[in-house]
Amino acid sequence: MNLIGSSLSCKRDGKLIFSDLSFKIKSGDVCFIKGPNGSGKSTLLRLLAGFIKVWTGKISLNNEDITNRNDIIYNNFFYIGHSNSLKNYLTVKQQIDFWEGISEKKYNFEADSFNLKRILNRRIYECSEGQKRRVGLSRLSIDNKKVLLLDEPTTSLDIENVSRLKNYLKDHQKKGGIAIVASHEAFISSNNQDIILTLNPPKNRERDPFI
Amino acid sequence: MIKFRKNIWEFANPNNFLSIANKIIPFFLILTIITLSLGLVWGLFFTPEDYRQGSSVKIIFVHVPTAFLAINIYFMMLLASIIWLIRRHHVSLIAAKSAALIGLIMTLSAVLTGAIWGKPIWGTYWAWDPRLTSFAILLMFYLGYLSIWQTMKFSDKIGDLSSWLCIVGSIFALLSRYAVFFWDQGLHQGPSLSLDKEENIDNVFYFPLIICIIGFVLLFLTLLLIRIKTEIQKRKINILLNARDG
Amino acid sequence: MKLSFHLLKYELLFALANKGILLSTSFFIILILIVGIGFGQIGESSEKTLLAIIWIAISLSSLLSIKTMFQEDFDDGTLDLYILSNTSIETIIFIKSIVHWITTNLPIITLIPLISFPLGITIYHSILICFVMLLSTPALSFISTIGAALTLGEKGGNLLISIFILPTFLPIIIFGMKISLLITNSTYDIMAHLILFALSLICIAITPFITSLIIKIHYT
Repeated sequence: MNLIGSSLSCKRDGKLIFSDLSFKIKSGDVCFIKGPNGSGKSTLLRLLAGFIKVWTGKISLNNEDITNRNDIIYNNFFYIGHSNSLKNYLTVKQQIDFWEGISEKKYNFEADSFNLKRILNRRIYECSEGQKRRVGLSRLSIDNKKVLLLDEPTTSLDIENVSRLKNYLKDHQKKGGIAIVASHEAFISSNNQDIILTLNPPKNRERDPFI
Repeated sequence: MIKFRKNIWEFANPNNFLSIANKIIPFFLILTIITLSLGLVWGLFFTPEDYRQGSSVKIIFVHVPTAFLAINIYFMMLLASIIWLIRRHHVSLIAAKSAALIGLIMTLSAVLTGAIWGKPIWGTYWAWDPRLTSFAILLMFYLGYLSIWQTMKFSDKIGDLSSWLCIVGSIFALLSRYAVFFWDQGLHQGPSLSLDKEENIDNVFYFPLIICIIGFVLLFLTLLLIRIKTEIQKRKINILLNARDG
Repeated sequence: MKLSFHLLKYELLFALANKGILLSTSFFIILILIVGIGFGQIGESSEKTLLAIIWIAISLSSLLSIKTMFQEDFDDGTLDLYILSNTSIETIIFIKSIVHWITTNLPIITLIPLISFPLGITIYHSILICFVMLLSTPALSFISTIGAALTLGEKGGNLLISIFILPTFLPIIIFGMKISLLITNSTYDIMAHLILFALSLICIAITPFITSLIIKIHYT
């Protein structure tokens, strides 16, 4: 499996966010997106997830052009953003049941990659921020898609749970999946095989039609 | 001279539009003054009095053109919004935005002149007659459209939202109009101008009225051009200020 | 289909947790009582005014909890999840509108015979009016989703929703009021009933598509 982006650019509300971005990711790769605030890390992930349309350029998965093909994107890509998509008044169990129903798959309680067994009957508003993030990340192991798009996944996680996430991603790599992570601190960057993608603001700004 | 251009969409570039607008605004202004004064003077002073309505009939020369514009400006906004949604030309969006306030004022003046006319003829300023009600409905949709621009900052997103609001508004304005007309036809006289020659008003009133309508349309176009010009310049200033600050 | 029922179940749960059902019903009762007391003071209370108030109150209270419909999901990211899921966004809007109708309009409609009986409308007529409302109020819920989508992400959008959406309720309200008035006079205009029902169905059929287009604007 390979994911190739060639000379991508993205426009949001009339402004060019980034331009001329190319990357090539094979199965088993983890790709980190780096860049200063406002350089379009989240935008790139949302673009890959199919929320935002590609302005110019091409994305291909397994040599098939998937630019703006949301049906294929939804079946292969999995996106978790800044927010955890939690409802305050549900219990953790209900929340997971809700997601299981939507994706029509089950959370694997035997493996329990995110250590949720102990807080299953707790209401979401009783959880700490770290616990909420864990519940949010548990969607990863419900859906089991091939390409993971994670936006700042380590926010408010403690060291123990960061290592759980690392383990999960390693398993995912072994299975031949792809992960694209936007993060301030490179949290797995110990091995050199990881791809690091640096986003720079577009140099030649497009002329505004009003000027 | 205005150069020959390849296609009409080149006017959609704000700068092209601005340079053309600067050239034609004085021309439109003079034409408006000539037509309006000709139409109004002819209509108000050189037409006979109606045998039933007396001299109060002469308000028709303001009432009919403003009512005509009130409806057609909304239609123009709808077209401009659809063009923005499909072809994404900023001038089209700005035209819709600028036309809204003129449309609101036209609606208000149509209602006001109608009320002044209604008092001596029907004995009341306002009645819940279907035609009057449809103008009240139109007024509400103008207010809704204007309020989206008043509360939110100019951006392409708000442009999209306001365009959809305009489309939804026109669908429901039309539905409401037919709902109102479903129950009764009201006491308002029939349309003053129609393609059916038999129903038309008398020739003595006909020609000055046509000139008045042309005059008011020219007035609308002049005001619209000036407002679009202002809006484009406002956006330019904003962009320059942002570029300086950040 | 199974997914739709799953969503319906959870959307109902979310709506009940938000206490919107209690708020809109209380709002409706308070509005009717205040207007009733006001008219009582000036000694002018007729079936006509009561009918008008009922229709206005029901349209105002269906706008009360509309702001949270997409806003909450937009803020906590559930809307992202819905968009990326296998269901179409139109289905979700459809389900949300139905849930909104069940939790705001349905309780109010069941209250109407109780309120209108002491105020001089016979039980038989008020049940007929309830039937007319059952046919037409789903359209109100569906139309107001447009307003919720338009003001998504806008703080204090509640007032804006009323400005945008109340005028669009007009066709339904005009027909509804006129038909209810005819019912209290014991005349039945079948044609008008059919047109009202048709209007309601048209709104139900087209609004999910318009709303989904507007929601997509916030994502591009």
